[in-house]
Amino acid sequence: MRFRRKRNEILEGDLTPMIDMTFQLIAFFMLVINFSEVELSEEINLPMSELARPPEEAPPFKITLNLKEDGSIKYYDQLIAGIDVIKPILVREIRQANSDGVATSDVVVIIRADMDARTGDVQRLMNKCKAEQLENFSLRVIERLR
Amino acid sequence: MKIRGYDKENEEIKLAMTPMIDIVFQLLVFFIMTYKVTTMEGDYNIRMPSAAAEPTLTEETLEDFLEVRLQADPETRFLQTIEVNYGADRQVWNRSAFPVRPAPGEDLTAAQLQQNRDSRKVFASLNQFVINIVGSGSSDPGSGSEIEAEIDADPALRYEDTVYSIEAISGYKDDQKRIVKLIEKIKFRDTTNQSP
Repeated sequence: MRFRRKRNEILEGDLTPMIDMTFQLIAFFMLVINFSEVELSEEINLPMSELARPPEEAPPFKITLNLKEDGSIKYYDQLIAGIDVIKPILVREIRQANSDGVATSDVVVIIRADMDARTGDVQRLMNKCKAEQLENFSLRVIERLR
Repeated sequence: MKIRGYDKENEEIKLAMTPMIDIVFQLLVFFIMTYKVTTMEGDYNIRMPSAAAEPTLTEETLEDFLEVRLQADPETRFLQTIEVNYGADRQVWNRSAFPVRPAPGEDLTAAQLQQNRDSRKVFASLNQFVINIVGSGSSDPGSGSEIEAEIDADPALRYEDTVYSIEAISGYKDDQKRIVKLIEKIKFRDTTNQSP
């Protein structure tokens, strides 16, 4: 019989649609991936607000400080025990900003404080920044959806 | 002439698909694993120039100066009273109920929900007060007011409530869900010389 012979051949499914689909998925995830968010700590529960909008233009230089509930600060992967020892990091960042041609007064300090943090801690952190001639602050909140 | 391999030329060329598919799946898994669903984050901008650069308060500037005092409950650290001073206008609001947080995996009871709703009224009162003072001054709703607000917050106060107060001072959403700006110049009271 003729059919028998065909059955002995290697049966190969059509892989084209699957590869198409997989490439689509890869392209999608590549586009949505955002490596610029590494400085945002996930341990922080930001306060919610209806009015805050993402900034229209990115600041020339930003320093993102994550203030935890207990008053410690997360800076990238580094955990800083207290607000009083933040100075070396600020000094280093300001030097970096100045070498990039950004004046100290144009640097934006983004404060991502936990909703249960003490307001006094936020103010102390701002005072520490002010002592280094930093003037612009952004209090980060998360958008409340209704 | 007989060319070696001539017979094969008419056969279909088969690409080795397996390595490519392997790599493609690796990539796919990597991107899926690193994918993070993030909610939009926004900013409240606060400018706090150092004390030396700041002009001293004169009679003229004092007129456009709103002072907001936030007092926290010593135990729960939630907001207790808001006191505002604008010129000769002084008002104090007391927050009767404090917001209740649900335990993980639990829902709030109807009474607790009502309590939460009541506790938000204190910010609505502050918002209304600011609308009144701004409305009497400037006419352009889009640009915000010239009035300067200074927040004097209890150091123990939960940051959350400070943000709600800033929200109430900075603007509101109108019926069409557009943001109307009220006061843009918001800063904290200078506490540099105070002990923590």
